Amino acid sequence: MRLLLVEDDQDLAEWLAQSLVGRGFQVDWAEDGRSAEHRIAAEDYDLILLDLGLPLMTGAELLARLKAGGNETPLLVMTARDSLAQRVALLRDGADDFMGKPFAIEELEMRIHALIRRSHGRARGVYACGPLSFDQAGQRFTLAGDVLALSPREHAVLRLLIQKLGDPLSKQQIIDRLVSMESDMNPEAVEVIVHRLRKRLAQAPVQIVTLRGIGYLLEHDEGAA
Amino acid sequence: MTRAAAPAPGRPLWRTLALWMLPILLFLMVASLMLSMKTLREVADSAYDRSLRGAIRAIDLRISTESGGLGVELPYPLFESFQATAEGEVLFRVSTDDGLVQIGDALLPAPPPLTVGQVVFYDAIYFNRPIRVGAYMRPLDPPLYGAVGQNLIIEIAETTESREAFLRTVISRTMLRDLAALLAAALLLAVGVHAGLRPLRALRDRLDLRASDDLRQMDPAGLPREVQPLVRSVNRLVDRHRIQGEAQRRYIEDASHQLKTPLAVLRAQIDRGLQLNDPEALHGVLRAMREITDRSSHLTSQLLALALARNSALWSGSAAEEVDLSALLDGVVRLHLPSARKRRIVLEVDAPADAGAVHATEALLFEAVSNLLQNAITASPAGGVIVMSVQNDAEQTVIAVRDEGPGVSDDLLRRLDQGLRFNLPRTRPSWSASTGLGLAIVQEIMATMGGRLVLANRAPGGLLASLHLPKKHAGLKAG
Repeated sequence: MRLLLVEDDQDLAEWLAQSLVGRGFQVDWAEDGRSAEHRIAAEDYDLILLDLGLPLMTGAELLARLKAGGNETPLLVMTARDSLAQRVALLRDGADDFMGKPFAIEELEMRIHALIRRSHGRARGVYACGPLSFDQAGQRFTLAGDVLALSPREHAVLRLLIQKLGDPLSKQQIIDRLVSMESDMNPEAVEVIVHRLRKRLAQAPVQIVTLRGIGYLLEHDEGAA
Repeated sequence: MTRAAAPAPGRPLWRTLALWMLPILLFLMVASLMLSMKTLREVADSAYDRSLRGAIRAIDLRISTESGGLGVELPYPLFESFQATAEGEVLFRVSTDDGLVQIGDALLPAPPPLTVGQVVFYDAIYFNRPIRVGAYMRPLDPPLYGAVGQNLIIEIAETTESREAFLRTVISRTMLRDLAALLAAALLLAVGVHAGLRPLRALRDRLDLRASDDLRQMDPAGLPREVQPLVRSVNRLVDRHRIQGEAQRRYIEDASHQLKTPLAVLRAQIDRGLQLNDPEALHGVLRAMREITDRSSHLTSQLLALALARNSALWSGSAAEEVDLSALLDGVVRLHLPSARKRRIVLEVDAPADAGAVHATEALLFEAVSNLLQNAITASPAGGVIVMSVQNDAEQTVIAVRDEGPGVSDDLLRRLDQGLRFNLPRTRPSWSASTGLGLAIVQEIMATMGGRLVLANRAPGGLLASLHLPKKHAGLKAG
């Protein structure tokens, strides 16, 4: 897997690159925002590791330019300025994940793998949560390899949840997203659908968690797997 | 924040005073001039009229009817002296009220209705010249030509050039005098303001000449009483800065102590590692080093967040805005959701659909709420429930985080009750309890917003940590 490491601190870049290479990644290094932009334009990376405090072009600027240019390479931001509000803003602006410096290399590796898996899945139109996966091309769910039979409404709600994995969706958000399909959708109807989905997934290590006041969250129950 | 009317531009004091005083002075002077013109005219008239009256008397004494007709012997010497003083022309007419006899200037305008025995003065026009006329009527005894109840009318007139000239002189002098007084007032005002502000300029020089780190109190003695409150305010401000600077200094000392300790530990570990030949033992040292690094990086972020909050206390209000609480809570929850779900902790938000807004610096409030949630997640048992809530009433907004953890020690609660600030522990920090610093950050942030942090252990177990934000804390902070 090929990574672009955009980091202006030579020491950190060197040691980090060594660690990542030691873990089987192929790592290119760009020292500033502008050369990073050129490299991204010229070559194909599986993931970009982006530092924010860069010379010539800040990480936030580069992020904005990449997203504006429609670049879909997953992007993990690393920064020492970990103001929480800034972190939220970055994720909103299109960063796929965020790590505050210093970080543990194991954690970084795990997140890189997760991001790349997600992005490859998306590229193929496949979303997965543990043994549950959704194939966009075939418009069908499989659970541990078996096709999962769902009603159209159940299918629609579960598709939203798996596409927004890790991100809770409120009833209202679900209704808003399904409104073109179902005109008579109401919060109670969403509750009923979620209830039925839970029954269908009862035996699987995948569950829909209710976070009162926040929304529904699809989760792979790794402990039970 | 509601903005008051735009502040007045820095107009010089003397001009403000002049704008207040001079129009009023000018108005008073014009009014008094008009009043004195009226009085002067009356005085001048009565003086000039007296000589007219004298001339009438003189003519009256020289009228004879002994010849059967009407005879007047004109008092020429009187006329001459009269004419000389009046610097004009003197006219006269002696007539009977039936108009049968007229001696003198027959073309004088007819008098107004007269009363017997009374001298009447009036203004009239004679061949386009303004004149002043004195007229006197008395019964003619015996009457002429056997008429019955015949009256004699004596009129003396003089042209009024001289009295007008006199009036003009007097009035122009009065105006000149008033104008001079006005100028003198303006001058006095400027000089007075200049002199009155001298202590202020001296004060400014004293402040300018101070070293930037000189935070001593200023002595208000010798300054005008009106300025003394200002000096006392400046003193209070300086004092606040001194106290804050003191806290900052203490904080830096504490922080450098805390930051250097893990570095020293790391250094010792490296030195130890270099002595070791056994790879297994070396690995053990490296693992220990990694732990120290993790802790110290967490500590560093916390210290920086605390420093940021303290710094904001100095500049509070500069970045304050209306913060939408629903969006804020949503952001905080999404930020911490992964770490909470890792331990199957259930996060819940209990807030009205429209939780409203508070006036705050968003980044700081986010930091505060985030710290409370972070603490709750750390304290919560796996699979526990953490509820974040928002409550609004007329005076305050309360953001609360409720967990099912072990709660906090009575000692900590007591310290909070006594209004003590959490501070950096002087001794080696206990690594496991990251809450101490987190709460210090929250408390610091609450101080900048005029709010307060309330901790309470819950009866069924767990902690209820709440932020009480006054609805109008911007005003409180400024006070």
